[in-house]
Amino acid sequence: MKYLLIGLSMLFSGLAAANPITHELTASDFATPPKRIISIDWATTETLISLGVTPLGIADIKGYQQWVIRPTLPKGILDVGARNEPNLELISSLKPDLILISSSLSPAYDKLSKIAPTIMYNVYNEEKTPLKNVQALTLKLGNILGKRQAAAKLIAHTQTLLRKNGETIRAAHPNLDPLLFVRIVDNSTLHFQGKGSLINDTIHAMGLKNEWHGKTNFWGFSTVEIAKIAEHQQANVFLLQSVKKAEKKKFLNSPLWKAMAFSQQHKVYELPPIWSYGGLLAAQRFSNQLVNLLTEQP
Amino acid sequence: MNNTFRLSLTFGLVASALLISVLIHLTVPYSGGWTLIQRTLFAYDTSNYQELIVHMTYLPRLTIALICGFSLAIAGCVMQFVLRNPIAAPTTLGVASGAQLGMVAGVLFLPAGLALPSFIPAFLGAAFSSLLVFWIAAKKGFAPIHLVLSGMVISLFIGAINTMLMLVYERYLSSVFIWGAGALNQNSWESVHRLLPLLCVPLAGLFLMQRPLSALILGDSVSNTIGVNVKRIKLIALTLVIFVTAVVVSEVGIIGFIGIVAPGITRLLGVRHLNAQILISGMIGALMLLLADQLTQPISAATGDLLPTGAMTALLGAPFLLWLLNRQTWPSQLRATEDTVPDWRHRRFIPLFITLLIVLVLTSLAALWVGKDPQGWNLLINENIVNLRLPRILGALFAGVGLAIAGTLVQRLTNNPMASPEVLGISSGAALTLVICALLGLSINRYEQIMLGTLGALAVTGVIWWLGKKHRFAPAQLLLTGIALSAGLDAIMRIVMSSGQEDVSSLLTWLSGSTYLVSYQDAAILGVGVMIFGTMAILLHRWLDLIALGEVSANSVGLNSLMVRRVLILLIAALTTLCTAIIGPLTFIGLLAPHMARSLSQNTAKKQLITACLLGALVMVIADWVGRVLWFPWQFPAGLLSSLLGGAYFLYLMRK
Repeated sequence: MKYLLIGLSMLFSGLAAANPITHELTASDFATPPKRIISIDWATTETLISLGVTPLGIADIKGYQQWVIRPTLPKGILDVGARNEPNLELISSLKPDLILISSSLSPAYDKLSKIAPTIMYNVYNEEKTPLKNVQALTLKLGNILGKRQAAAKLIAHTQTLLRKNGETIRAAHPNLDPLLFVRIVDNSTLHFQGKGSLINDTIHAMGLKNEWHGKTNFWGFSTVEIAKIAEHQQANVFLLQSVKKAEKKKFLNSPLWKAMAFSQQHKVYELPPIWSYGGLLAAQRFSNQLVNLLTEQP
Repeated sequence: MNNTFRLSLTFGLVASALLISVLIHLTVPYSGGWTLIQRTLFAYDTSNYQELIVHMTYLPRLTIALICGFSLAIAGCVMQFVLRNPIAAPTTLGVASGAQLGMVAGVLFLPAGLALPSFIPAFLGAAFSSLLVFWIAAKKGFAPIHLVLSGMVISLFIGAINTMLMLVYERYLSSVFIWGAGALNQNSWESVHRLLPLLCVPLAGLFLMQRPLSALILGDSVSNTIGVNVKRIKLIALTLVIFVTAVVVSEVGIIGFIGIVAPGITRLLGVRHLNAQILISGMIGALMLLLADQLTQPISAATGDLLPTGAMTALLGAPFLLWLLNRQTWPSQLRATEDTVPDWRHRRFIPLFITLLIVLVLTSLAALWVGKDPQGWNLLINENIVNLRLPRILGALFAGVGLAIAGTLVQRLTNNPMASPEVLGISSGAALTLVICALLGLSINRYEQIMLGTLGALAVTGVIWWLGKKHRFAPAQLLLTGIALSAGLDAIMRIVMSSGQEDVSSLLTWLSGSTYLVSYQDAAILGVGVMIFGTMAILLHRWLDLIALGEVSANSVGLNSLMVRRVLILLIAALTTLCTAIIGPLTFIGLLAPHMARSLSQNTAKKQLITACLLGALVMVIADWVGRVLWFPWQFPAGLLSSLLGGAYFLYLMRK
């Protein structure tokens, strides 16, 4: 009987040998720039729209409107279902000529690439340089879609803006303490943004310092318990949107939080809603908000 | 016996108290040791932030660990006693999933201006699901088997709703994922103040009623004749237990393992009287949770990740339980003691078989033809659509058949109606490998996914085989090994989920069992495998009927029990591995298809196997179809809908 199992595993390993090598698509694979594009990942959707290309369909329109918010979606885009399981029947009936996915859908790559040429791209990968990766994505899509100039312009503009915003802040606060970006998860758990997050890359590009240097996960943040914040009392604390208003108010009024140096020195700021896994426009928007928060101070 | 027991108990208590005091010394924040605790306790200075942190986070955490461990272990002890099932847990009757539903609903649907502690919606959810379980079991007079079954079905049913909500709203629910892994972190004494009064009253109640409660050991009918109102005692005891569990779960989240294992260890120590069992379980539970929490903190500090204690308890406890299993012969019978005679109503097999077969064929055809597009329903069919739909339907169908067979085999082998293929931990093994890939951020294609899933499942099968050899694959050890393994593996998954994955949903989809990725090739492998192993199972139906008699009787009529067990375990492993690798871990079919077959009065092994197959396939095909069309263009995994649809049908059968 044991041999049955062994035989079974050999059957599977035989199959795995037939593993197709995914071919990296480039502009030369397309005779004319693709026009009917389905974008599953929000980062690619955002990049497409910031390049002035309207996709035919995207995944989870409602979620995009709630979390990514900007750039706003042009009218007439179809919803092709959830980001984790976009509707294959619908996508195939739309007859797209390009599908954009992130690697969380890589097991479905075979099925999707039978429908249309599929590009898999991850802004968040083990290199932990999302801002650079977003720029690369913008260039790649610009090349394939015939928008090379628009892409180059977008990247250059972002770089200038970040630098300029950084100079403004440093001029207003020559001795600025490092920044700590905190998301409140529940009343005893926090997320700190660190290496590998878009926020971290953006403030570095602005010449500012991040307070959190701890090990981060794949998405560039660490989950920490509340006691940890006591070690970072000298930082400027920026709160990312997360829990409900009433809960946040209660949290900010808790004795522990109020005893912290940053609370007593009024160094706590609240960021407006922002998509911290977005593209270049998200980085631009975020750096503008930092300028607003840090220069409004009396 | 009594003396050695007392000695070992005292020794164990002293040793763990010493260990804990050393660990406390090490885990106090800022390496302050006991001196910092002393200063905080006796000369508390609010302007010193170190003392503030110890006072606001460290000390309440210690207290919470003790309180929760104590309460959960007592709840588990009484629950196992009343339900007469040594693998019952405090959450067996649906408390955890109900509390989770309450949490999710609280986050999603309560107005933003309302600052309600999440305890309240969670507790209401737990109360709601427990009432539902009672309402369903009431029809059958609260017999243990019906309580357990309705508890498990309600858990699955509400759990499926939870997962669907999580798939849609995952970004709002990161707090729920942390809660689900049982984090004991505190930021004030608020939780302690809330828990203490709420727990003291029901726990005192449980101690007071231990005398009438211990009369239940005689069995329902005997207790009734000696003038004990069995039903009322059971109801009061269960209500108290559920109240305790609901309070703990709502406040700190899901902490598994303690409630199952602490009473088990108590019995292992030879404690007989219920009163002593309850008290000692509580003490062992409190020590276990405190120890687990104390061990978690340095690990968490070293790895730089937040490790929720609830999940870590299972992770640390699982190897311990395996070790214990491997060196000690477990004294208690681990089969559920069933005292209601099953319904022996006769129903003819052939007409039922033909009806089910026809329904299955018609449903599969309908699932292929009827679909949806942005304009609405359509009957349109072209080659393109067939190529997308047919593999999914076939995958669903074969997985339903395979898991129904595996489930029937597991339940017959272990003689425990709570057993299902994933109780053995095989599917958790498959899941774990993929979860780890997601954690490391590896992107894997379909082939690697199937391969890794198979490897994980085979590894767990190997462990089960290796550990089982020593006990001649006795069902009791098999179940406990499986529970320990799957609890440990499940803990790792919950830690990963709570560590803030931004694509929890793709993981959740696979973990719920989806046919989305099934290709023709996958369906073919699955089909051939299920056919081969399924036929073997059906051919072995005589063995299955005989092992129900118990090892001694079965041996005396010439059955080689050891060989039978080996073969059955391999069959179960093969079927579960196949289905899990290709579809993902499906919970519902393996557990309930055998029961559905029984409730259609198919009691012999052969009839039960065949009926369960057809029912499993039918439920899966319908579930897959509903998941594809109802929320078009969104889709939900077939595994979730099978729990919803099958669960609803099963509850209807039970209430009928």
